Amino acid sequence: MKPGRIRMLICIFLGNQTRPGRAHLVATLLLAHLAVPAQLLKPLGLDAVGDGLRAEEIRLAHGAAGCPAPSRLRRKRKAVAPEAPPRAPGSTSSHAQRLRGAGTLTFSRVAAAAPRSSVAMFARGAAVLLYRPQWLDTHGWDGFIRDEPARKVPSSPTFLTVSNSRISAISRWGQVRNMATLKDITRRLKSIRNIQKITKSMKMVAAAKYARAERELKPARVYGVGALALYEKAEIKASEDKKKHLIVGVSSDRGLCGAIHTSVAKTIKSEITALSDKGKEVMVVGVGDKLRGLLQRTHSQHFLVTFKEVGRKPPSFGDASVIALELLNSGYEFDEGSIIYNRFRSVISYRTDEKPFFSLDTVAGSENISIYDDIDADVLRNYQEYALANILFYSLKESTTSEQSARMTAMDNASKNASEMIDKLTLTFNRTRQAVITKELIEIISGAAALA
Amino acid sequence: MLPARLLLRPAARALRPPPRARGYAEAAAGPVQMAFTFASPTQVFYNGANVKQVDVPTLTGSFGILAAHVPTLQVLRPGIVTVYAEDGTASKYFVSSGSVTVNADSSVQLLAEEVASMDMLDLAAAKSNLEKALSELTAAPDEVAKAEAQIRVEANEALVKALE
Repeated sequence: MKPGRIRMLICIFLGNQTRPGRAHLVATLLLAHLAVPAQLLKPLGLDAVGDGLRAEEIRLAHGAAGCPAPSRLRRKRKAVAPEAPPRAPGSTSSHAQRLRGAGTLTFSRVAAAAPRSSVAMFARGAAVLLYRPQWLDTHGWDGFIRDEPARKVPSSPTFLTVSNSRISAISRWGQVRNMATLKDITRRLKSIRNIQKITKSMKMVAAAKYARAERELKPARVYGVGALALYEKAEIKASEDKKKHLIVGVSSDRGLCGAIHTSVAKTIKSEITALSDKGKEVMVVGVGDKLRGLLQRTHSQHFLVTFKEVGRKPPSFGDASVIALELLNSGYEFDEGSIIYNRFRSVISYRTDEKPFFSLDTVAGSENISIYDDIDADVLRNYQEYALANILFYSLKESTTSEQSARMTAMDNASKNASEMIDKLTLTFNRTRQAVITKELIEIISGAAALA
Repeated sequence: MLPARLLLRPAARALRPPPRARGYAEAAAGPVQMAFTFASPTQVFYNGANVKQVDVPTLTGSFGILAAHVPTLQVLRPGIVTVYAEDGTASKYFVSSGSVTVNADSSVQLLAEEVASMDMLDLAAAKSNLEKALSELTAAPDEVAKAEAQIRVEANEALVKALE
């Protein structure tokens, strides 16, 4: 099939309004090339696809660099037509090899001569993919669009002219990308540097608080384990018909500590659903304002009381006893409860854990409690209240230590990210600065040249 | 000799009588070593240590705990805790309040809210605090304040008694 006949087909296909340009021709040929398997090309008479493409390529190979106008190109092509080397109809692969060896960026010229329509884009893209795939590796898609290697670092004044054409080429293609001005970059750099200072100092503060919290956690852990020993050794369990459950979530008021608050809130949410499915009545107590914020939209009806001003100072036994007193005087007669807190494992890891506690009646009614001798109601009530304060104290201590270590890690990561951004921006800043200087120089020089 | 209840099948667990507390005439069965944990919220004194005897002051009276003591739960009142180590040396601590748990496996958890070793206490200061507390008790306006003052008086009285 000759190109003339293909043009006719395209004309018919697209309607008489569109005059099939070079781009349309190439696109159709490429489509045919792609759609039809190689073995059928010869019987169908389409094996001249490669020929046609190559003819186009050779005609355009002698065109000027840049974006020449179509008419000029045609004139030039006629002049150098005899230079086309003899070609024989062969397999597509040999064509492809020959085409690959021919010059640089020749296929880009196919559409460079035509108005930049979407068809031209397609033709160009397909041609590159088909016949010059390694071109993409070196130049990337950016270079493909811009006619320039994407990663070219300017080292000469020609950068400016090239970049100008780059911008205009882009706008013709429909992409809008403004080059950031020096002031924008400076502003960004300044703000990121400030943020980095802040996160670094927050990391230092968190590290100091973490050291203290970990030191205080050691005796608190022994204390807490001792307090829970009764429940574990006596295997006290609430019977299944006990309806009222209380969930205490231990967290804090301040953020920027990673997933501390969300892990506790997530566990509380799943606990609420599990218990409600079993038909129990659940109320939630939040130690720390963040939990209230996380849960109030969906579970506000479950909230009993929230404790604020948690996390500012290290927790003491007095804080735990205040919380315990409030729980016992809240008016909600719970049968059993659980405390959900973050148990500290190491500087980089913590685990959301759950510890149970029971009401006086549950403990008194438990079967294993009769092992313990000489217990009357008064003693047991005192004991239970004290035990509740102990468990709360232990969970507060573990929670603070986890929170400080998580905040230290989070702020450290933030500082690292900020310094990475600063490095990248500094490079961009220097590049832009050089560009501005070069531009001014050229203006001066061309002004002087015009006068001279 | 195994208690009869251990021979019952699991299905019959619900029907069997609750585990009996040890009667007075029964000899102790179980480990003879006491795992003693004595801690306050800020300090650990003993952690699973092996001691001979511990004397604790509780609301129902003072008693000494040896290994294989009957399991019990008690609440402490202000007073002196004496710990007799394996070699016989006694250490005294003043506790303000807390709880003591003796489990069936002979582990003892003594958790006190405030613990002071005897050398941290001063008799003169204790006496002046006692007088102050007594005057507060007489001047207390309402029940809550009276109860708090009463607690303070008891603690200081115990302090003075311990130091004398």
